[in-house]
Amino acid sequence: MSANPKSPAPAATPMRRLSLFERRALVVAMYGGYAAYMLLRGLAVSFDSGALGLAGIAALVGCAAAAWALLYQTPYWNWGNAPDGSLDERELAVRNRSYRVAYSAYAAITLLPVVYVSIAIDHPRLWLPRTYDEVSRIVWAMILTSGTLPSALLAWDDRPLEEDREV
Amino acid sequence: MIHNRISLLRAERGLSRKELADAVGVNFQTIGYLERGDYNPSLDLAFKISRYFNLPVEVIFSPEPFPSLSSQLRKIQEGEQK
Repeated sequence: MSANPKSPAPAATPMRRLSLFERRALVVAMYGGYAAYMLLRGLAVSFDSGALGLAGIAALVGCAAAAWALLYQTPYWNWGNAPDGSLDERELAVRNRSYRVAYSAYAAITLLPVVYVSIAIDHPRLWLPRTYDEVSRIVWAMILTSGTLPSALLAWDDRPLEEDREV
Repeated sequence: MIHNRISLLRAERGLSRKELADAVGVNFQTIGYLERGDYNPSLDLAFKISRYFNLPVEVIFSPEPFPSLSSQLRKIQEGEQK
């Protein structure tokens, strides 16, 4: 693995720095916000409740706001998605590790609904997604997870020491 | 773990992490990780650093911990006295 002879891209633009606690709180808020939206939207449809529907939209806005705060102008989106040539060898090694973990986690997350559906299909009392609205919520959850999980893992785990200044 | 003398050489030459990082093509935080021993460099990066400091690679990197500067100075002084 060779180091890029050019100056790496992440250092070129000033990035917002978040503490470990802030980053972890934003990761929880992002995924928790979408999970809350799925639940509230399902309840809103079941009980025909406008208030629950609004609460679901608020949770979705919270999820988007957390994603923006976590990934916009912080190193993590770029780190998770930049071309290999703009990262140095350590950053590539860390990203490869996060991709490996994200892939395993995503495979497990994707497998859970499949296992559930295969069980629920023989049990009429268990809930199954039947409408376009229900299926699309699950599909969007998968799209959100696949797109953000590597960057979220980097943000969750990255611990640059305070002494790591440029001097 | 690979031990190194990067921080010593950097201090001796009055270099910032950013200057060294730019010279060898890595992020300045990677220099911090190297200095703390939290990351082992590739051969390519080790040779780039040794070329930059104009020193043999084994003077900068070692699988064994380096002796402290004070013990080395004492040894040199004792050698001169004999």
